[in-house]
Amino acid sequence: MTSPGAPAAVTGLAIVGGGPAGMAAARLAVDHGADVTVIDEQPRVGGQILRQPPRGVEVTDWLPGAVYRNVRRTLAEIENDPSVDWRLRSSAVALLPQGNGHGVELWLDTPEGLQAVHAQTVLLAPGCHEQPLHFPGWTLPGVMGAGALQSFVKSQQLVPGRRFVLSGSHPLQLVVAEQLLRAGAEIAAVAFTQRPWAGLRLLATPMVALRAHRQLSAAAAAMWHLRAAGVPVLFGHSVVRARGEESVSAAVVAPVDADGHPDLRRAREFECDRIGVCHGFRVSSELARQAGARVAWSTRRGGWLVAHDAWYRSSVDRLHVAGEITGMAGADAALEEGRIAALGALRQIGAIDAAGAEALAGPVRRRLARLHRFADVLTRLSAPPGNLAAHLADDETLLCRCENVSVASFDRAVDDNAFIVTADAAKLLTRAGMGLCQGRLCGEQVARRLERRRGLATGAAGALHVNLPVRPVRLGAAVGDED
Amino acid sequence: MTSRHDVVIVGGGIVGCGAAFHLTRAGAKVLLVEQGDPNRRASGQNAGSMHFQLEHRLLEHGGERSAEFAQIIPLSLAAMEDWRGLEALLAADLEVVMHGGLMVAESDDDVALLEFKHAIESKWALPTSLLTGDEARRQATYLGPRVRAAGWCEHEGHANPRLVGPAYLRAALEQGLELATHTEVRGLERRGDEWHLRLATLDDAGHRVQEVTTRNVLNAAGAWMAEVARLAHLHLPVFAVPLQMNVTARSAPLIGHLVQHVSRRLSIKQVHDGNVLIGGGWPARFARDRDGGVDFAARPLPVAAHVRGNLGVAADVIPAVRELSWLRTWTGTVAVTSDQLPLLGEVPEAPGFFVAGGGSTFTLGPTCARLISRLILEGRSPLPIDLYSPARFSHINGFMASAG
Repeated sequence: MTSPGAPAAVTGLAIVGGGPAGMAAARLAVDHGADVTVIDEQPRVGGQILRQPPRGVEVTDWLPGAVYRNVRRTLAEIENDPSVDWRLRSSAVALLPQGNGHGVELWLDTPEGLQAVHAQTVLLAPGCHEQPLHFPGWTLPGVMGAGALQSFVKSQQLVPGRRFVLSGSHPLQLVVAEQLLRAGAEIAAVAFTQRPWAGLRLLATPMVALRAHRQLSAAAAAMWHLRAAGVPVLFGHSVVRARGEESVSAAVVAPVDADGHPDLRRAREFECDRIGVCHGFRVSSELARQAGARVAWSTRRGGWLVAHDAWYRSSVDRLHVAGEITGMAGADAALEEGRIAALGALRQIGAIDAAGAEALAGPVRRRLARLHRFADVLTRLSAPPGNLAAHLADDETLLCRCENVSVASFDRAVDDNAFIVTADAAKLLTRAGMGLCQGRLCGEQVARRLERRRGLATGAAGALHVNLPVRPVRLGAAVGDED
Repeated sequence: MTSRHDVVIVGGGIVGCGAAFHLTRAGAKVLLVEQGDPNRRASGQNAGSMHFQLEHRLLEHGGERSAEFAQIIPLSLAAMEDWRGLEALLAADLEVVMHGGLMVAESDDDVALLEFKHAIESKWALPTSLLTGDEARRQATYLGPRVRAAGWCEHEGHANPRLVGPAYLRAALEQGLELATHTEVRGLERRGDEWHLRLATLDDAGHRVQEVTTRNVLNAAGAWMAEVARLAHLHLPVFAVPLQMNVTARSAPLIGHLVQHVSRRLSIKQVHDGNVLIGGGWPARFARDRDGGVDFAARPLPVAAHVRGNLGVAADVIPAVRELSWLRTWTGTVAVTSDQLPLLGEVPEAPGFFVAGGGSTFTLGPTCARLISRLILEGRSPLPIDLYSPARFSHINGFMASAG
């Protein structure tokens, strides 16, 4: 779309997302002679798990852990391959399936303006984003996602703050806390919403050799290291409020019960300038939804997951999916899903026959089954209490930070308009979910609050409709800048 | 079990909710039937313009046709008054802003068209005036150098379409309206002097079917008007048209009026919350179903070239919009009649069957709702509405109704 009517660039397979799934798929597709374009928002591929330092910046001992071994190998195998058409610093903002086997048009927001790519087939592997928690003070500067804190440490060993409190339900926060500690930060406390026995009971199940698994053993090692350094690791607790004027000055931490109800009489305050929230992730299925792909809700596995068949084809013709958007399962599973999805896409464009794809897919499927069993245990282990967000938010808490919609004003609108029963209708009425983040941060709570007030089942209020562009684009870039 | 009503309204958009308000206020026993959530289709999705100058769509087909389209002006004059009083009537903030509107011209042909338009409007007593480019820029400093002239109407403006329908509906419910949402009309027939409707409500338990009886039916189903009429064995030449609109992220006050273009598709305004809405009748396209057919019920798909086209016209007229963030493009389905004039009145071949809608229905919605309610209640409208009567399609329904 650089000039009106200019033909779009053409490719065989466009892969959205250069994380584990996208990299593994690109490797396999290139090896089978496909024209491959990889689109990623970052200046270098690797995804969030391998947030790379900028080129020219030397980081010694970058991501040494065993957790990163497989994905680092895949990165090394693809990153410098010149046969891939790399579209970095580029964000796919729209997917337009052309129907009747005519492929898919993608719109990319690039440093050179909005550009169109026409692909025979598309593999979506955009990963996931962190889930916020709507407690009083959650919008104060200094409240961040634990993963966001980690990306600073990972890419450049920067410590983005002085004294940290981490709170959540996902074991990742132990790893983040330890990485921060090693990089020179003070850790005031780490709070888990689960009580310890809940996790231990799962760890004791004969499912898989869990204790030997890399992710959990990394978390366990991190916990020992933190405790040895004198960091309090609290179980059955959550941040219930962030205090501060201009930015965070303290975290109020209180015990929570199994439903997420806090006991404020037993609250404690930890002085800190950063709060890292770690309640797990929500899959980034907005492009798939914008393109019309069928999705299904799963609270535990990451939100609106894209439905797919055994070859990771979505319900939309020529739209394949892999990685977290099919259900949170971690980087190693994403690698394998990327491979199967690539085989499915190669079949679609005739680069491999059915028997060839089947033969290659067999061992991948077996590895994947094992990884999925482990992921299932991990997601059970890291599930936050069901109604935590509902119990923590007070009337003034912002439900939608982009549009400044408070919990009280949202509830009032819902009560005053009893005829509203869908999340989309609630959005139209209140503006919650209409802002810059397009509902990524608040959409889930908009639906949950509406459902609770109406006595509806979880998911009954439906998903917010996703319009294009899925990320805002400067209007001048969209129409082509005048010189 | 059959329940009896004075009026059953089909369609929970601005006209249906508005009529529900007026009818229940007069004490009528009214049921409103809506297939989804109220105000979720065109009434809640349109860009909220109150445009009274003759629009581009009414001018693009040339002189004689444009003179015909001027017949819409008496409704526009009534609509100005209705909008000015609506927030007080409903005791609700609807973000009604009537700071005037400009219809801009860029070329010689545009200027000629603007003069032609102004002459028609003067004949029909629509208060508009002509401004030179510089006069327009003094009035509206954000207009760019390409603007050569503009038509000005001080009554134009905008309101928040997300709020108007619900405000009508809340008031109607307080006045005793019965509401059936997620309910489709499956059957609609006249027996004697009563209409019998078969309704199917979709809930967790599946479909619940009920029969209701009424003296009067108001078809306010918007893009679904023709479908609803067919259930009553009537044809209405109302067509579903897929359109797309765009919105920017919120920004500081920039655009203080409704701005349209006389020869290119553009309507642009900045709303209360700071977002700039950019539309003007750019088509989307209907989705396809699994068999390759057209799926009229699904949300239409945006057309890439039309996003670019629409934003491009906006940037030509108001260059400062280039620095705003394009946040969203959305699509909706509106209803347009075959002659582009609204449908408002009783179908002569089907006594007790009323229609309202079918063109500029946001701008004219409050007025259509008020007038059709008076017609239903009192047998006559306070303003002559024969120009918009479905009687103009009697040549079709002469065949249909007599077979019913």
